[in-house]
Order: sequence, then C-alpha cells, then structure tokens
Amino acid sequence: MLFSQWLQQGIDPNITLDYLLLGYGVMWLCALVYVLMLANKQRNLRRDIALMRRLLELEDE
Amino acid sequence: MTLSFLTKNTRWLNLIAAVAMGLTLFLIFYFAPTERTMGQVQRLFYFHVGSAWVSAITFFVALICGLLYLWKPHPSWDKIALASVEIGVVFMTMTIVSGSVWGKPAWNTWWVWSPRLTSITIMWLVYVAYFMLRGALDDPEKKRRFSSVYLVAAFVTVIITFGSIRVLRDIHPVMFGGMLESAQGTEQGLQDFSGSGLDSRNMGITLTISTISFSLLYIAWLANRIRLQNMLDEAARIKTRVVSFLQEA
Repeated sequence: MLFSQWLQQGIDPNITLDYLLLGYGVMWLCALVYVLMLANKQRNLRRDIALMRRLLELEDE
Repeated sequence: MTLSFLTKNTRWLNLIAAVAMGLTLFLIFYFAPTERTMGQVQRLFYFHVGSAWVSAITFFVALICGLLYLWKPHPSWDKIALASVEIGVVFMTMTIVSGSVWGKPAWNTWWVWSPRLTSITIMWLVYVAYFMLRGALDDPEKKRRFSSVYLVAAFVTVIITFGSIRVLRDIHPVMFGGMLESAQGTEQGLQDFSGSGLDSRNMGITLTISTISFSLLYIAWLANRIRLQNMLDEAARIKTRVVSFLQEA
C-alpha cells in the first residue's frame, strides 16, 4: 500500500502531456473540418441560388 | 411541422455553443485537478465522454425521427434524422480518435479489439453506411422510407456498444451504471477507476458542464445542418425551373 502510494507520487503528471495535446489537436481538427465543410457548402449554395434566381428573372423579363 | 425556430436562430445558437465550449476548456485545464495515475492525458476524458454521450443522443434522435417518419411520413423528420446522423458520425469519430490517443499511455497500445472498441467500430461503420444507402436511392420518398427503417435497425449497435462493457469483460472502464463487477476487469487489475466514480467533485462538475456544452454544440450544428438542407432543397427546386427554362430557350 505504502509502496504503491510512493510509486504514484513519483509519477510526473506531465509525462503524458504530448498525448493530451495530440488528442485535443485531432478532436478539434475533426470539428474544424466539419464546420468548414458546412460553411463552404452554404457559401456555394447561396451563390448558386442567387445565380439561378437571376436566370429566372431574365426569363420573366 | 416547422423547424424555423432552429434555422432562424443559428447565429445565437452558434454563439451559445462557442461560449459553452470555451467555458468547458477553461474548466478542463484550470478547474479540474490532474489525475494521479494517468496525469495530464486524463483531461481527454471530458471531451471523450462528452462527444460519446452526444453521439448516442444524435443516434437516438435519428431513431425517434425514423420511427416518426414511418408513423406519419413528413420530410422534416427525415431532414432532422439525416442531420443528426451526420453530426453523430463526426462526434463518434472524435470519441474513437480521443480514446485511441488516451489508450496509448493508459494501455500501452493505440488500439485493442476489445468488445467495446469492436462494437463502437461496427457502430461507426453502420452509421457511415447510412449515407451510402441514401446515395444509392434516387426516388426521394423511397430514400426517406428505407433510411428510416435502416435507422431503427442501426440503433441496435448503439445498445450493443453501451451494454458491451457492462456485460462482457473489457479493458475499457465502466464509468456509469456498471452491472457486473467481474465483467469490468477490476479484479484482474485491468483498470484504475471503474465502478468507483470520479476522483473529485471538481471532476464531476467539469464532466457535467462538458456534457451540457457538447449537447449545446449538437443543437447549434443541427440548426446549421438543417438550414443547409433547406438551401439544398431550395436549390433543387429552382434548378428544375432553370432547366425547363433553358430547354425552352
């Protein structure tokens, strides 16, 4: 019991810091890629809809 | 049925979700204590559990929408289901990746084919296949109906994933609602904190806030995704008119 406590006190908590940064980095990358994909699709669609509406206005004229 | 409340307030929902995620990050790095055995990498836990929780919620929402569509067919149910599954797959990817990165220092391996990890991989593949099914069907009504049936069947994988570590012996810890102590592997020394709950009150508060923040992020993304789907539908409607106009010209 005492030995295990002594062992645990001796562990440097920052030894796993690289994995923490890697984990958060990859997770945020996943989220960022998805958000950018949504934003990009929305922007393209907005442009396409505006263009098609202009074409239909030409038809009405 | 109208989804206008969600789609009209996307800006506010995005802002609320961003603030909540910022608060969660602050709590994770400045409020929650450093775990004694695993050190800093344990802080992945708050995002890992948060994203896993929300992905289960998204698939549950998709199940409900699938059932509602089969009961009373309305395109809005299908729209919510599609958006939910898409977001759920993103959250599930985040969960798997963060779990793998955590596994390396905790278990000394990036991946093991344990019941939980195997069932979560199957679950991920099943929900990715949902998009393949939708892509393979041209008739909109048939697409919505078949997709709804698929979502009801696919939810079995969520139940299996949730139950796997509670019934089978697994290296993955059980944080909540463990049923069989022997199945958790504690007697074999496979894990450190299964069945005993969180180490401190601050950890519990951080986890709760993280779960709420991820739920808010889901709502914000859902609103954005539904708005995108509305735009896609509108573009398809206008395109039909433009094509007929160009053919006449």
